[in-house]
Amino acid sequence: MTSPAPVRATVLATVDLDAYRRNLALIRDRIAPAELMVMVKANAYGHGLLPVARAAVGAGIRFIGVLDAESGLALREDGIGSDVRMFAWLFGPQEDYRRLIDADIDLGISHLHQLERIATAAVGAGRPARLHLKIDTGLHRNGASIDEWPVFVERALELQATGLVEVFAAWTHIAEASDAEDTLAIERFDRALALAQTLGARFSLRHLAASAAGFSRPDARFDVVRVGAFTYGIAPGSGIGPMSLGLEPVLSLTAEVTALTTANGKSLARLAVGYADGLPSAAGGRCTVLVAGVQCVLVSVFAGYSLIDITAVRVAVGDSAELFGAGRGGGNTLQSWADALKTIGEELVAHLNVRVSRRYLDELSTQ
Amino acid sequence: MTSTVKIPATTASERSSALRTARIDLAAIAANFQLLRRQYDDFEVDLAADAYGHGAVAVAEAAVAAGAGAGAGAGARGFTVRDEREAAALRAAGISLDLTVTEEIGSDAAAATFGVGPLARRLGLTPAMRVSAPVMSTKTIAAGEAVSYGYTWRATRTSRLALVPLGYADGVLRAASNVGEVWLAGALRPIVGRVAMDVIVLELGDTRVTVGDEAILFGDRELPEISADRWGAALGVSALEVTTGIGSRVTRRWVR
Repeated sequence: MTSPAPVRATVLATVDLDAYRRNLALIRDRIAPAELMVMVKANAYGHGLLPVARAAVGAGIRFIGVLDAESGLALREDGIGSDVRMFAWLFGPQEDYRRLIDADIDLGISHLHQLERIATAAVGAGRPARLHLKIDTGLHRNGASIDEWPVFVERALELQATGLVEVFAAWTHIAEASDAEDTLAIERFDRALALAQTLGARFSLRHLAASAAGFSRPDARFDVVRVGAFTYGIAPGSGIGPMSLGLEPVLSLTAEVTALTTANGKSLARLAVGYADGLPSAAGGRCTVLVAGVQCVLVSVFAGYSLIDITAVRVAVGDSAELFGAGRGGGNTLQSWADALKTIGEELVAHLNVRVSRRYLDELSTQ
Repeated sequence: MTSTVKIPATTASERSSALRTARIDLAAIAANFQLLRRQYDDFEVDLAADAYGHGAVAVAEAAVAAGAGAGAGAGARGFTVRDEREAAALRAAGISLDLTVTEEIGSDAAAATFGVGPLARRLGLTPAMRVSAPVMSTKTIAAGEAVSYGYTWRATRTSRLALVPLGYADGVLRAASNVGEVWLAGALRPIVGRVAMDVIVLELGDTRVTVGDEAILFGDRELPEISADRWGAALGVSALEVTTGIGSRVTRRWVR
C-alpha cells in the first residue's frame, strides 16, 4: 500500500489484513458447508473498502456484500470479476439499476415498485437482473411483508419468464433479540420459502444469518452467511469478546503525543486525535489509552486533540499511544472501548473519519 | 410529496439518485463569515476536519469570494487548518491565503461560520448543512410487533413505519436509538428501535408518506427547530461534532 501524501501521520489506523484472513478462515470453517459472504459496507466498517475486499478475494471469498451501488461499482472497477458475486440491497427511489445490471451486481430487493423499475432497466441489457427477494421475518425494516410475499414472488416469476430478471435467491434479516425470537424468524423464512416454491420459485441460494447467529446456530446458516462484524474481530459484547470466539481484532488506533502539560495538579499529555478524526467526545472520562505500557485515563476529547492523565507514567513528546487494538501488552480492545461507551465496536470503527490514515499490515502479499 | 413542509426551491435537484444528501449552503457560510468578520477583527475561518464536514475547499472558495484575505491588516487574515495534510489539500486546490496550522481548532467562533453553536444562535446566523434522505419504504405493523436489532421497541398499537437510509455509519449516533427525532411529512417522527449501521426506522402514527418523501435530520433553514444544535443536545454532543461526524457516503451538494 502507498500512502497518499508524504506527511507524517500523527493519528493512524493500522489494519491487520493477516488477522482479517485468519478470521475469515475460522469463520468459514465454522459455518461450512454454508458459504461466507463478507460484508464490506460502510468502507469495510471503516477498515478501507478496496484493501479489505482484495484480501477477501485473495483468500478465495466468492460472495461480497456491498450494501449500495457505489461500493459495488467501485469494486468492479477495481477489477474484481464476475466469479465473485457482489450483493447490494440499499437503493434510492431513483436508483439507476441499469449500471448495476451491466456490472453484474446482484440486487437484494423488497418491493414491487423496485421489481418494475428493474425490469424496465433490464430491457436491452443483454443479461437478466439477478435478484435476491427479501422477506420480512420480524425485523420490520425492509423486506416484503408476509402478506405481500406471494404477489411479490409471482410478479418476479412472471418477469423471469420474459428473461428480464433471474429469481436467484431468497433472503431475510433477523433481530438477534433472543434465540426464541430468532427461531420464530427462521420458521417464518422456511414458510416463505415453501410458499414461493409452490408458486414455482426455485431459489439457488437462501440466506438469513449474520455474524452471531451464523456462528452459533447451524439452523440459521442456510446456503450463505453474511458476516461483517466477526470478520473484523468485532464481537457482540455483553461479555462475549472476540478472543472468546477465537477472533482477532483487525484495526488498531494509535495517536502521537504532541505536548506535555499540567492542569489542576495533574500531569497531562496531548494526543493528536480528536473528534475531527471521528473519536467520540463521549470517550472523555470513560476510556483509557496505553502509553509506555501503562493504562492512562483519557480525560477529554476536543476537536483537534485529546488529553490523557500521565501522572503514573513517564511520557515524551513523539511517543505513540494505543487507544484500542489487539489487546496485547495490556492494551485495550475495540470491545472494551465499546463497552465503556455503551455501544458496539462497529459504531466506533464506522465513525472513524476517512481522513485518518490507514496503514495495512499484509505479510501474505509481501512474502 | 404529502408533506406539508414548505419546500425550499432547491429541493427538486436534491431528489436525485443520491441515497443520502448533505446540502451545504455556501451563501449562508459567506453571509455568516461577513457578519463574524465585522464583529471580530481577528476572525479567521477554521477549515479543519474538511471544514467540519462542509468541504474545506468549497468553504475556502466561498470565503475568498466573500472577502476573506482581501485588503490589508486585520481584513487580510487567512484560514485555520489542523495539520500539514489539510494545508496541502487547500494549496493543491489553489487556495493561496495564509494558513495557520494548529491543534486548537473547533472554537465557538469556528462553529458560528457554519451557523451552528451558541455564538451562531446569539448572532442569528444561518445553518449551512442540511442532512436528508428519502423514505425507502413504508410498512404497517400490528400492536406487539417489534423493530430492528434486539427488538428494543415494540408497537403498542397499529403503527405506520418509514425506513430511511441514514445509520450510524452516516453519523446518526446509536445513542439516538429510541431517542432521536427526524422531520418527515410535517412533523418530528421518533426513531424507533436501534439505529443500524445503514438505516433508521421512523414511527408515523396515522400519517401516510410516500416512497421518496424527504426525511430531514437537521439544518433546514425553514425549520429552526431541527437544528444540528438540537440534534446534538439530545445526544450530548456539540453541533460541530455532529456535522463533522456526518459520514463520507452522505453526498455533499454545494449550493451557491
